[in-house]
Amino acid sequence: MDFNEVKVNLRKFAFPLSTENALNQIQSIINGETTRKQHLNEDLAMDLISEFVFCETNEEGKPTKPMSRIRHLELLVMICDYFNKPKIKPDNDNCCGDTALNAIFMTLFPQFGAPPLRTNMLISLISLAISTYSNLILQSAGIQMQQLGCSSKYSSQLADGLVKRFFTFIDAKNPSLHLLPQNAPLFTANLMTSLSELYFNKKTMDISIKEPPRVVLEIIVRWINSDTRLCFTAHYTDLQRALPSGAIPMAATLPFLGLFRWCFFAPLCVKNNNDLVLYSELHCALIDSVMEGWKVYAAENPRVSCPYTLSVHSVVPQQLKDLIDEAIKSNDPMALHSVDVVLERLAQSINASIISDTIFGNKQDLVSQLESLPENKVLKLLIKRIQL
Amino acid sequence: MESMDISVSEEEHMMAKARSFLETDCFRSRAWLLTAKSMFPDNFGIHFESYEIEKNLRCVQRAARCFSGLLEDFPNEAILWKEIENFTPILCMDTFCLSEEQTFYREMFSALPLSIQQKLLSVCAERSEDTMEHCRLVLLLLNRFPQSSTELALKLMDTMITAEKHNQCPNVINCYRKILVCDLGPLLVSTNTLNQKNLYKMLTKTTEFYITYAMGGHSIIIENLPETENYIKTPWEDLFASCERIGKKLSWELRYVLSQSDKRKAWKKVSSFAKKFVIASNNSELSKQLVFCGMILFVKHVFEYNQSLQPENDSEYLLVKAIKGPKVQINKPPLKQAVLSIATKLNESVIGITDESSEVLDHFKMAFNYWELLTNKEPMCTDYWKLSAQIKVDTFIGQFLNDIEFYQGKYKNLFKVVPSQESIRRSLSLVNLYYCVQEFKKCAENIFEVVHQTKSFILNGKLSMEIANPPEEREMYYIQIAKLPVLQYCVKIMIQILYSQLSNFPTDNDLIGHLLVLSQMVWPEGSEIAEDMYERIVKMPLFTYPQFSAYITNIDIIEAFMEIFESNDKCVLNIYPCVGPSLNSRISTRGTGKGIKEDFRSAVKTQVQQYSEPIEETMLLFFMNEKKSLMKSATLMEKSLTY
Repeated sequence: MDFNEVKVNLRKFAFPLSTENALNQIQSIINGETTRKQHLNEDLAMDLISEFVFCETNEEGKPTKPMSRIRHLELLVMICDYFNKPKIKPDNDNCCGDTALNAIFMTLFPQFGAPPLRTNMLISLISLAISTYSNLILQSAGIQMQQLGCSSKYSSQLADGLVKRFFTFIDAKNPSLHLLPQNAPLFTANLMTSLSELYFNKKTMDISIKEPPRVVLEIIVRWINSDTRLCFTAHYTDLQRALPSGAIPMAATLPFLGLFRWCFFAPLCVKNNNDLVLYSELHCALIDSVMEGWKVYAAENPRVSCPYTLSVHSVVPQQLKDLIDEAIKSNDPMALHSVDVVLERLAQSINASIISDTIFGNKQDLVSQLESLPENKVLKLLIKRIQL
Repeated sequence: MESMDISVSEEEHMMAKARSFLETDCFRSRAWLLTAKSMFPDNFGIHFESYEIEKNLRCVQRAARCFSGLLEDFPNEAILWKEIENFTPILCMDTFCLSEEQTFYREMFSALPLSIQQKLLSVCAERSEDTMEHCRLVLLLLNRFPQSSTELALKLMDTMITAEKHNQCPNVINCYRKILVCDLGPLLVSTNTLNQKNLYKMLTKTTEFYITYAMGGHSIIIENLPETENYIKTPWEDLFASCERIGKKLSWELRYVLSQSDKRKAWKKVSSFAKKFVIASNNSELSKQLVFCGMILFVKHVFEYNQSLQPENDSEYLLVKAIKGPKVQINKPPLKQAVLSIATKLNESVIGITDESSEVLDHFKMAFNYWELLTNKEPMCTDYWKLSAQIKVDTFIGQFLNDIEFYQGKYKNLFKVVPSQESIRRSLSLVNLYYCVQEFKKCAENIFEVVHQTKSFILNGKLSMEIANPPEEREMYYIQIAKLPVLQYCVKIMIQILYSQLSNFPTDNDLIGHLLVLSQMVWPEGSEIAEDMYERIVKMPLFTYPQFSAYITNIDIIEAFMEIFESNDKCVLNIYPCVGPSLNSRISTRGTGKGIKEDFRSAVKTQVQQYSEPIEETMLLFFMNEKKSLMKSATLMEKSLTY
């Protein structure tokens, strides 16, 4: 069929039929035979998406005015329903979702080439999907985040958007958030990784160090405690079979490094005592997960390679050292106590990582990193053990 | 910054850290524990302490994880086993009487991996020296892991049976049997572990247990068991369910009759099964099936029979001989009862009941049917006696057997089973039995005993046609033990005695008068007696019965006397002591006679007013006042029979 013919046919319908037909058309284009010129197909799909799905362009390809809020909602519900339809390929696990749907998701919400409003659309869609247990969308999103990198702009924007427009408006005890690790473990794990990069991170050249909202902290603690293996999900998920043929799976990043950083920074930055208790719980959950989670998983799957939970080079960032020095200089008993806590957590985390054999880097570098820190009995003990 | 003593070991230092934060920040404390455990994986002290800390924090999941880690890494530590001994008994206890700590242990056990649960239970069961505890642990093991071991289950069955013997339990209702029957039984049967021989063994043990329990009356407390388990709420239903379960394994066709709610249908099924298969084939398996099911149903009916014979809050019943009459030829010596010829077959019309509202008769008939089926024909007969001896059925069906003997006319045997305690039941039984063996003097003595006791009786009951005028074929009936029927029954016997005396002394004024009084209690059938008396009276020149005004309340009788007085000049009625010289009326002039007539009429008028007085009160008065004269008649009657 000629490309124009497809468009002309679709133009005969109005919303919602036009969108529905367009989605079906896109599906057959993307998952159709590959003998055709692939890039042409993709162009057509992109055109159809912007004209008939998101209504960003008109017949001539010119931008149109943004759709109404009602229409916006109707469209989201329609996409949700589309993904919730009986699976095209049966018997998938709950991790990777459906290959065909993943491909469509990637085309609907690509990294590049889509107008910025589409990002808003994505955040709304994921919020809706979490609330309505539309697991296939979440699974596709989880894959897309991993493929593009959990600390990529795409994933960060999504994570940040979810926090600002969704998490802050609901309670951490909300059942849909509770069940998220069961329903979409890869998405949950990757979301944690993205979230972990958003806070206590000076990379973004912020003036001050940002701490996460309490609800985010609460929900992450709850997630990790619910399943010690959850943080490893991205590592052991076989993405290849979830991706369209020809796509190369990207390496997994785990939330450990970022979340451990939260725990190291918190005693020195966070003033709220109630929040500090939560960081203590998070730290405990993390080292438990590092030691126990991987042990449990590896016992069941001996052939999966070992992941890294900490890296020697980034475990003690310069910024943390600066904060510690500052605290010691102040000679304030409270601040000194906080330094103790930080050193204690550092030692415990590194120990956990060593015990589970998931630390990246060489011994000597690690020892010199640790020796640059103030003296502490546990650190000494740890260094002694590393050198053994 | 570091205030810890350097000489303290690294382990100690870490544990001290962990302990120091327990109060302020339990997660910090836990992080230390995790670290210490990972650094010193071989140090039992650290691992056990972190388990204890989680235990004290009442954190079920974490404690369970610590505990399974301990079991895996330090399986031989004595302290660990001490801890296991602490909580295994709790697993056998009831959930709702547990302390907080015990509940925690229970939850923690459930949170352990299944393989560890199973291992723990079997090791603990093996180690346990107390039979009850051992058995509870094995039960728990079998319940949670039905596939675990059939051998274990069979061994437990033997253990329980031996324990019962070794502990010399005097009673079938003991804790070992209860567990064997109620807990282990269903489990063993459901898992296909029992062969046929063992199935029968279990069935016998089960039947014996439940029957003994049910027949022993409600709420027997089984000793040495916790309060929630020491009684059985629905022994019959439980017995039926158990038998159905075992019957299913033995592929019994009859197993459903037990729980059948329609008793008659069940009986039909059983009896046709007997006729069609058992008697014809003489198959021992089929016979066993029939005898088991039949015997259970039989005992159940006897149970219901006993219940309706002497219910807790309702009127009781007693099987007594029907009193025919009044004109009955009393044979001498007493005949062996005609009933004997039909003794093994139930003739439905031979037995009646004075009060249709009770089911006692139905229960008797049903029990009789089964009794007859089980004890009269081979091959069931042999099997029944064998089983009955094993389960000691006879000890529960005494009353029923006595009543069967009564039905068969073996009265002499029954004197020794009359209740020894002073009661209306005892007196009435004696009245009945002495009447049956025609010892009228003793019979009458006991009638006065009964009358004496009825005075304080609250339950009135109703006068019964069955007593007043039993159908011709009736030989016996169930009498409701209540004031009216019992009195009526005594009256009926008394009438018979007096009537037969009347044939020796046809003009005895007292006999005639007494009979008139008694006839009121069996009215309107009594009118026949009254008519006979009127006839006798009018033929006499003088009829003296001064008690007339005291005992006669029946309007028909008073009217009849009025008529005799008015129309008959030949007979002088000397019945009102107040009506002056009535004796002289015949020789007096008409004028003076007129005055007497007036007096007589006014006396009758006064008496008519007594008409509404309850008959039983009059009878009681009569029996009390006339005891001497009535006893005389009874004694004479007995003498006349012996000569």
